[in-house]
Amino acid sequence: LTGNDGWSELAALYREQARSLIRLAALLVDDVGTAEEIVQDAFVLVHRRWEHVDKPEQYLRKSVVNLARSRLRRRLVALRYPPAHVPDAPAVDELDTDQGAVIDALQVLPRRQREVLVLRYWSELSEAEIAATLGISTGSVKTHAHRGIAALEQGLEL
Amino acid sequence: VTVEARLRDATATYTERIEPSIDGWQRLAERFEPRRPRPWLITAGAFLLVIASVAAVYAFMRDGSDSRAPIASPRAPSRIVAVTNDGRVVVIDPADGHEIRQLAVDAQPQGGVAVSVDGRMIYYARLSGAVCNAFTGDSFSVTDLAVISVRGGAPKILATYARSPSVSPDGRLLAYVRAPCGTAGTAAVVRGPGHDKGSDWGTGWPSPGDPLDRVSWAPDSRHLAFDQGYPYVFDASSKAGPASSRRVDIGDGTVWFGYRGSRDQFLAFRFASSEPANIVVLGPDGLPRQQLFTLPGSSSPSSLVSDRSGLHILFVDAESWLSRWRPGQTKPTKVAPGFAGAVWVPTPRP
Repeated sequence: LTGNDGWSELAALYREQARSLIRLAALLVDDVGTAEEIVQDAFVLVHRRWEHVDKPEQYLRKSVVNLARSRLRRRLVALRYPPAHVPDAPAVDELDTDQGAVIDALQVLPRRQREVLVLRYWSELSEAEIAATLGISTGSVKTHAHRGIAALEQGLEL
Repeated sequence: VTVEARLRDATATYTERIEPSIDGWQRLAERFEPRRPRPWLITAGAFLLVIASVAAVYAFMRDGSDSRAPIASPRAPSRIVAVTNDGRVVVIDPADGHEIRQLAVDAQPQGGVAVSVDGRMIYYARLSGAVCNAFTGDSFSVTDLAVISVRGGAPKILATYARSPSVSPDGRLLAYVRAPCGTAGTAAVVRGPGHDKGSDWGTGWPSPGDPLDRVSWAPDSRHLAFDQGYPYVFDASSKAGPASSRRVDIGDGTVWFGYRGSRDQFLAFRFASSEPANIVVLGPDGLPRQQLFTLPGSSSPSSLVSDRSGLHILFVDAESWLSRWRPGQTKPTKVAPGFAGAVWVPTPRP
């Protein structure tokens, strides 16, 4: 960032994107505190590369997904040792029964399917945008989406 | 209700309660440290600064106007091209005047001689053998400007009614004096790259009645000095041509430009005709900066040049002795008698 203009530009970007990005991260890591940390880390990254980033929103979204994946990987390691991770607010039990079941089923999906479904049905991104965010082909996006929906459907029927 | 719709509904409801912390931006802003220059950039900058400082100190010492001792003592040129009083152009050894090679026998002895910067071509004033009749009715020999290889061969005529060649230090320009039939010199002519075409600044000299002579380039290859009763200098790169000329007020004397180790300083040699005859170095302002040596008697040398370093001076004294001088000598060394003009053959740069 150079000068006050760049700084105010970053602040404006935070005001516009922070809420949406934290919610996205929360869907990926089911932990609002971690989600906020992830978003803060993403903003630090975009700040470092500010002069080289053409589309900050896209860069932030991609960073959030990657950082969330990294956090989940670390969490898997942490799960081997007590105490286990306990999701914080919003508690799933604050949702109605069906919504809670959907969120529960979503959280047990394989990582990639979960990412694709969240980006597709919550972020409302196109397949091309999802592919660009996750760094995979649109064909893979379709496959993961199809399998994810099928797995979700199966999980909800149980 | 499809699974997709249920998914949209559940995720929207789940996330709509999530809000960023009130102090989120403040905590984030605290993590942004001012960007620091990269270490290699600092190192490179410091290195360049040191180099620039050393270069500045070196340049100051090298061009210091009040320096009396030579800063550098490069090897003196090993050859001289000279014109003898009987019109021969020869290559001689500066140590003892030993004649190494004869290049031509048709030179106008007082017409001057010059060498290209690569030392391969010799420019001299050649007696064509023809005779011209001036408007006064008197007959004169026609003098051409010729160029010949230092290895010998036939001369090539560059200009008719021309003399006193001078090659610019960068080798791009050739200046000479245009001397129409029966005149000693009326104009300085500068030729461009390749020396195959010239631009003539032949009109409007301040003293049109006096002969023009001793054309010589300044070390910057831009300013040209000549003598026309008084020393004059003009900017050869100026569109103004003769209008850019200015008289150098050095009192009673004659100016030759020559190297003093700097391309952009206007140092010159002055010969004051008052006794004793001093050869001095002038600064860009025309004021004397350094006295080099004193000539016996009051007569001026007929030619005086320096080598590329400016430390080795060559001249022909009033008794036609080819003489040389280098820093540290209290008086010049006589090389050989019977010469009208001479010039150093440039030492090739390593």
